[in-house]
Amino acid sequence: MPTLTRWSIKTALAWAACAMIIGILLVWPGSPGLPYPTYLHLLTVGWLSNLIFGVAHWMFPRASAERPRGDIRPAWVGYAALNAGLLIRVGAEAFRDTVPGPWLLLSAALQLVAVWCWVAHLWPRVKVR
Amino acid sequence: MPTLSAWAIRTALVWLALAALIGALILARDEIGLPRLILLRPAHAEMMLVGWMMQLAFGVAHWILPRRRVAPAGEGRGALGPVLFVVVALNLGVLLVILGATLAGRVLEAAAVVGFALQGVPRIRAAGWGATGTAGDLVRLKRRPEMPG
Repeated sequence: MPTLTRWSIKTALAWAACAMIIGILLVWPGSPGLPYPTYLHLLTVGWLSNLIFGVAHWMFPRASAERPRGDIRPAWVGYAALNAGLLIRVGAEAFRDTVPGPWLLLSAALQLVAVWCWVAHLWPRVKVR
Repeated sequence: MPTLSAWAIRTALVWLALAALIGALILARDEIGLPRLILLRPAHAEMMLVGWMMQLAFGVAHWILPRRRVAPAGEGRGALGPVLFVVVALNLGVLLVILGATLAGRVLEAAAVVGFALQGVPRIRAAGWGATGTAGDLVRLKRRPEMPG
């Protein structure tokens, strides 16, 4: 299993655990919690997307004999940007009143770059054999 | 990877790229002064959940699931027509939902899911048990003798 896949899957599992804890806090009496969409995105971006991208990077057909997984730099950028963007979103929504700033804009930009990097990385490997 | 899987996965990646753009705009709506972008949230969810994730799962499953052993040559993954219908119906369904024709879109999406299940279920079996792969015989639940080899 390639290094990036291992990192992606481990990170996905960490986000899944966070999402479960936050899911409990959402309904815990008296807990300030987070907005419900944040919880949903911990599951869909943190858990599912990291898992999907990691496994796709590992299992999709080879790009070429010399470089089976193609240029992996966009994938690493995608991995870093996706998780940084999600982390910033969680922080921004948890501390929205105390730490103002364009954090959500930064988070949105990072996650958009991340997805486009992953799409650019995976696209050439989706091919008919 | 079979042609239909490649097309389904590529289309799923296109939905992902578009949905991510819409999602980013929704997340940053207050910072960019367009709060009404929140109205795009249902479209964002539909594109992500059905256009991207479900279609990716369909495409990969069509590629990876065990092939039928008792099937005409080249049809181990099922006849082309029904599988093509699944991909077209799913994408048309997502398109209709995000354009506001929600009921028609959801009916098409449901038809795609049923079509995929009819194609996929016989392949989630021990070899030699399930569909014959003959035209118009998508699901056959009778045990058949295995083909030699």
